[in-house]
Amino acid sequence: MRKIFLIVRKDMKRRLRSPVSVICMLLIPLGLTLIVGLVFGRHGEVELSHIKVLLADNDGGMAANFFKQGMKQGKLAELIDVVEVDSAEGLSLMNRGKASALIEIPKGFTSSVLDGKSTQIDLVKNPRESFLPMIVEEITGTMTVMIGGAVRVFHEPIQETRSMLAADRWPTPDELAGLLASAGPRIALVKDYVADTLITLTSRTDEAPAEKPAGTFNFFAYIMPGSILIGLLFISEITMRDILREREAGTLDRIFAGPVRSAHVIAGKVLSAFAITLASCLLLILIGRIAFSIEWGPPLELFALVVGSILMCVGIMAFLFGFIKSERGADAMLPVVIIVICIFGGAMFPYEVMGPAMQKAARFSPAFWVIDGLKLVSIEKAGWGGIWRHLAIVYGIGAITCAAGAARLRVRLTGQK
Amino acid sequence: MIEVRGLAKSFGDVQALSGVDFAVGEGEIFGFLGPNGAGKTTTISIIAGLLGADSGTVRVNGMDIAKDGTRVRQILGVVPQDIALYEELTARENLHFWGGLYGLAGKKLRGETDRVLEIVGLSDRADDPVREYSGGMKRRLNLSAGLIHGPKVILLDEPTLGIDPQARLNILDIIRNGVSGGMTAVYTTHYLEEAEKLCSRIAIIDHGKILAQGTLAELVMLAGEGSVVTVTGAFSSAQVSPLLKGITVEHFGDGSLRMMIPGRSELSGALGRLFSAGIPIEDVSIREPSLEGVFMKLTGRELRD
Amino acid sequence: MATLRVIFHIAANDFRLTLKARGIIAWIFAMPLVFMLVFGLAMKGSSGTDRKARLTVDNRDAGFISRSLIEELRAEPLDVVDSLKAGESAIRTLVIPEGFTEDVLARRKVALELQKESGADVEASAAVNAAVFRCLLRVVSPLIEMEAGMLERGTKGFAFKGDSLAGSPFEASLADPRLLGQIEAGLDSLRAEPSLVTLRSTAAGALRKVPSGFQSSVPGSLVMFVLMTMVFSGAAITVERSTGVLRRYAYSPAGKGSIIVGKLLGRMLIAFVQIVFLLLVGKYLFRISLGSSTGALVVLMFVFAFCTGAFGILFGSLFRNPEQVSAISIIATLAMSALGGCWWPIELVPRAFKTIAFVFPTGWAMDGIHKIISFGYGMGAIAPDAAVLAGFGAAFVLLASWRLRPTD
Repeated sequence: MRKIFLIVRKDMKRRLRSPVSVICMLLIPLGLTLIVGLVFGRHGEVELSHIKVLLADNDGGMAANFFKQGMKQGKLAELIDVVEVDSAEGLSLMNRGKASALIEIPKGFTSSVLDGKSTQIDLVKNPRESFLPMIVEEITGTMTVMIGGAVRVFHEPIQETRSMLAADRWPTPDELAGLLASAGPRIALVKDYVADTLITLTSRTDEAPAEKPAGTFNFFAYIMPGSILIGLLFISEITMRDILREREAGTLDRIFAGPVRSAHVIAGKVLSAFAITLASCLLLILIGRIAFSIEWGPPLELFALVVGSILMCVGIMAFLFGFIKSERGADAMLPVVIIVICIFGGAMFPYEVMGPAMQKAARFSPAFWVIDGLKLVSIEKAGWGGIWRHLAIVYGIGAITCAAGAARLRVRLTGQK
Repeated sequence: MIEVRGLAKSFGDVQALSGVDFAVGEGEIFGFLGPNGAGKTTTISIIAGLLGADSGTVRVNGMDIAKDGTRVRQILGVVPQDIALYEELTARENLHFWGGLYGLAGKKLRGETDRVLEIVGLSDRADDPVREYSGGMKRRLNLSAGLIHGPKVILLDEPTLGIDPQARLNILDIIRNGVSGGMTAVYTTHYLEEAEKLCSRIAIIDHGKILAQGTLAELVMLAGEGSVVTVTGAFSSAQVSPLLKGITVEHFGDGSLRMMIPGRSELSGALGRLFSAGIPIEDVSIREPSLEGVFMKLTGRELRD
Repeated sequence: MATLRVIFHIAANDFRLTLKARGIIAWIFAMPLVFMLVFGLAMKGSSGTDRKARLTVDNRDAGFISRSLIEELRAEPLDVVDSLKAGESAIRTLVIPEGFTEDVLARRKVALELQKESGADVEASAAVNAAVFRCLLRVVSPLIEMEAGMLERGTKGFAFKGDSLAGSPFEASLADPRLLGQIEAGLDSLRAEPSLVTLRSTAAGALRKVPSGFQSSVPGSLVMFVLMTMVFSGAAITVERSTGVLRRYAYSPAGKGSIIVGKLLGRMLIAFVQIVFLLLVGKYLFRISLGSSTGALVVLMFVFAFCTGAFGILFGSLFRNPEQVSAISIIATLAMSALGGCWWPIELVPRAFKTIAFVFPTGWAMDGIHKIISFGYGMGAIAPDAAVLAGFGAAFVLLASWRLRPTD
């Protein structure tokens, strides 16, 4: 035990004397959190900017107006900024990528619609943007269906009105009565659907979301767990890498020259990597609290999860270093492994935004359980009951990788000797 | 071949060189002897044109380094103190690269590479990556990279740093053979033996000043005709000091004593007095006049202090 | 002439050295692929055609209105499923309640329910919502037409009196059982009529093609990883300085200018290899468009390689400790690529950050690449981007040559 302690103490001292690399690694998660946080909302409120939509009305008629009014009212107005332009101007703006989409209502739109002739609205999307043009397309598509439907339903009264208007004389009372007779019931029919919501569409999400704790949602709390994990993996990597360094420098041979068993050395290395990573992690959490005002949630649960996560990070690194022969090999392999673990686990960007397939894949990345657990604890303030599965998996992976890594390192070190 | 006049250089407050003058003739190996930090590397850097001097001139083969830098560098080879090589490349690849910088190409480059590999005895390991080499091998390759373009003048900055005596002898041999081909060399070192063995003329430099220069014989003359005698034994300084009146004592301590004794008769006189006084002497060593003595006389300390 | 040869000699050597570092190879080829794949899949919902949102329909109604609704849903770009295989997840379920058709015909209030599993893709769910709404419109409006017809014909059990409706088609059908069949047939034939107003989608720019999700992940990954490769290989200069190799360069007749240009050229070669590889992968594996102007693409990529290569050299000249460099380089590249717009679709970023993007070469590179591959423009359009990148590059080279002293 004393020997292990000596090795740990020596490693800690060395790390304190040249802390540059660990400090730099600490900067990575902080930098990532800062950038993502700054870009997507300084105070943690994710806010979509309004969708800028250009609308070129080449028609000017009633149907076109109906369409335009539809785009500008109710909920749509909160989502969309409609700017009216003429066709040429709109197209030139679009070609310079100045808006998300351009809607072009063709000349003669109203008369075609009233004549029951099919007509077409053109939607020009900004090819550089991914999401917003799609939303505009959905909305416009729905609007066209509405106009089509409305025109169908009111086709007859509209035709009558038009012929009356086209005639050179005043409409006769009979004609007016006929118009009312055909329009009245239709309006009544539509009113039932539109105003009295004869058919409603309700949405419900399974697993009612946990009660959101009071206080505003902090976006940093949402992104920092992923960043922390990236940092922890890199820090445990550089601390475990010490095994290679010490072997290349010959100090490992010197340690072995003394009455020390390989188990001591491995335990010492793993423990010192653990201690250094833990210290870094606590520091990150502290900075998160102070600089990003993250409420980390119940401290005991958080600590348990953090310890397990670090055990896991160190274990994974011990295992990998059991197979790596040189620093060059480590340079080639480890960043790739780390980044892949992180990406699939949702550390680089939240797994919620990935497709369902990716979300399933995320569960196979150890990173997922750390990040998801941290989010549960810090955002949902989840207690033991909420994270027991996460804890079990993280500690399980930690124990398995530590054991396998130790066994593998032992083969390497004694084989070397 | 090399003419250095009134060279001065300071870095901030530190006067690295002041009034350095020397000249090296064609085919000569000129030794630059001094402790670490004496100004050897600064001098080499100025001759190679890496550093500008605050004042003074350097002419190599008649060309002023300040004006004709590129042409001078073409005929100049430098072997730096650092093992400045690409460790991931093989010896041959390294030599091809460094040779190419001097404009060698094609058959000539390949031929020269083989030639220098042969000289430094690395032909059979030429295609191994340098990182697999031993310290001595790296030093030899470091040397060959300075020779690849067949320079007229070679500046060697402590080329044997940090290697074992056997490998060092090997390198000295290579340099000696190289110079027999007409090359001029400036060799900096803080190993006295190397300078003694290799150099036809030597300058002793300390604190940025040349203290003395000349052939080995001339320098030894400077130190005065005399031998350095070291006596050890179980005696105290109080016991022996009355016996050594009129003799230059360099170092005096309990159990050891170092004296500068001008001639044979004085030597036997002094030792005789010690023996007849019954001083318990365990060991006596006599060194004939040497660079070490010269250095000690000029600087008041040993070179390796 | 001799100078040129020395420059090429240095360039070739640096190129070879980079390829010898196995670590860099992973960053040049493997990592960008992973990024393209993951980011591309994440953005894929955007393209609409690439992936269909899945909708499971739980129809508890036996009538024709629910059948019509499902038929309409199948015509939408949705993946409509009516029975689940074992172990399959429903993701979203539209529940059509029992007696839906009768309720609608009886003009009784009825609710459709769209159930979403937690974790279902939010955008896809929004798209499904809109689609269900559209389909309802397509079923309801012919139904209203049919009902209007019934009122006009004076069907028994369903009438318009004064200002309001009395009875319902369902009540009418109780009196005349054939009525239901007539409504069903009428509804089907009305639905079969072509829609009056259709929507045609195109994209702006010269290509007029709507890009796929990879269209934004490929340029982003390309810009970020070329920058990363260049910064990493710039860090090699720090190592050269610490081992004294840089000094050895200075001993040779090759001037400082040749050394810097040679090193820059070597790095640009690496960047080119990487760019060509990634663009080919983008084109043939991820099937993105590379635009119509190869010339413009080549010019833009050339200045981009120049600019990032110069940045790498500047980076290498700024620092002395190789360990520091590797960490700082990761932070710097991540920051530059995130702020430059490589990570997320530019439209999601607040306006201020859209402007900040142009502080960095990455922002200009992304802008130029999208002009070519998304808008399909040529040389004229990218000239400003190329000029700015070249300007950045020139400034980096000047700074680096001022900063890089072989005697250090």
